[in-house]
Amino acid sequence: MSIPDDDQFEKYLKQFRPVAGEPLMVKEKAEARSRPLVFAACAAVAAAIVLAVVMSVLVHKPTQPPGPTEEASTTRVSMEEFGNPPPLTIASANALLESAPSFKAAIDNMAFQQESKPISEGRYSLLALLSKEDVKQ
Amino acid sequence: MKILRFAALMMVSVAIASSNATAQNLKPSDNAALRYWSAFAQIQDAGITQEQGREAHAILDGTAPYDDSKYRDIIEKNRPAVETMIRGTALPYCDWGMEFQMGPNAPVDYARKAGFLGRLNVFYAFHLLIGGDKDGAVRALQAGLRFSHDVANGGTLFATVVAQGLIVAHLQAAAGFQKVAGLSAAQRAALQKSIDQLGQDGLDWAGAMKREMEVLPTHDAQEAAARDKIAASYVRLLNNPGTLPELQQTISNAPKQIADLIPNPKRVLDQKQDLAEKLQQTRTLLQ
Repeated sequence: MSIPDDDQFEKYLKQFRPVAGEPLMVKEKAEARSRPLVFAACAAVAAAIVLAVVMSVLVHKPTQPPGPTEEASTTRVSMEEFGNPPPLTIASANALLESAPSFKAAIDNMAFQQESKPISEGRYSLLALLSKEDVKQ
Repeated sequence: MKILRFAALMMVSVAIASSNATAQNLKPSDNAALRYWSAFAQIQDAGITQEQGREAHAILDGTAPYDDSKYRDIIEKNRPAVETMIRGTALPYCDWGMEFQMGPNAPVDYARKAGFLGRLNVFYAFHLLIGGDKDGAVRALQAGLRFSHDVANGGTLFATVVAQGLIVAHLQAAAGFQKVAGLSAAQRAALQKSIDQLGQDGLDWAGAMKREMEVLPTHDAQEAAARDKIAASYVRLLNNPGTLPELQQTISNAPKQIADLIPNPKRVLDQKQDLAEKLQQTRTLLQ
């Protein structure tokens, strides 16, 4: 733009009016991002601490199989909820073999009672109902 | 001297290389245990009643007739699982990947699931026979015998006892087929071949007990020595039943912590002998 003289230039400058500045978008975005990042970092640190505590407890736990009371209390929920038998180990399998009147009785008991245990008291799978229906026929 | 050392080194290198080659030849996809686990995943559970359970026992023992109307739905639902197992029996090896480093806490759930699937297979064979597919029924029994044998492979006493029960159930069914339905010469020959492949004793009882003893926990040298002595005596027993008193004496002299964990040798011996007798009886019947 060409400016002929000082008056015109002054006149031109007076046309400018101060305008309230808008907040800088870049800075705001950076702040908006940084907060969750800080949050996530804190959460990760907290999770790591919790995980470390849990792992240290598990690592220092004795490796012997749980006793009958402990086993019952730790497996009861899953067994009642899903009808799954407790996990079988060499030790627990041998205990079953020894406590049954015969090896055959131990195996029979596992095959036909624990594996097909009802989901919970009074609740049976569809297959269980179909099976009952077959018996009535 | 240097030449001798070099030759020895070369021989060791060749031995290592050939053993690696052998290991590489065993492809994971050829491991029947993986196929069996796939079959376990396909099992459709059925919450049978106590009465049905007793009846199922009686059928498997050969003391009650099989009624297809009661079992066909369950069997058809489980046909994919059983057929997956049958396909698995065609694979060259079975390695259950036992975690022996876990000692007595090593999981053996596969054996329980195998017991369930194996029994289903016996019912499947009955179902096929009643449906008129006698060849299919024989094929199922053949596969079931192989599967039963695989169940014990590399395992401890529990897996071997499960396998023993399954083999006996399949032999019982084969005998029933022959008596009730009558099998052709080819069908009898096929079953005989499967039975012969199991060997004289059917299962490796000594190997199972050896592994069983190896996972027994010991706390000091005295317990470890007692365990090793019992293990050796147990293996002798399974090769020579006359040594039972010797083993019983060795167990009674062992520290209580060890003695209490030793499986009853009389029971183990009875199981082994029962299986050998059943195998012999069925061989004779099918001739």
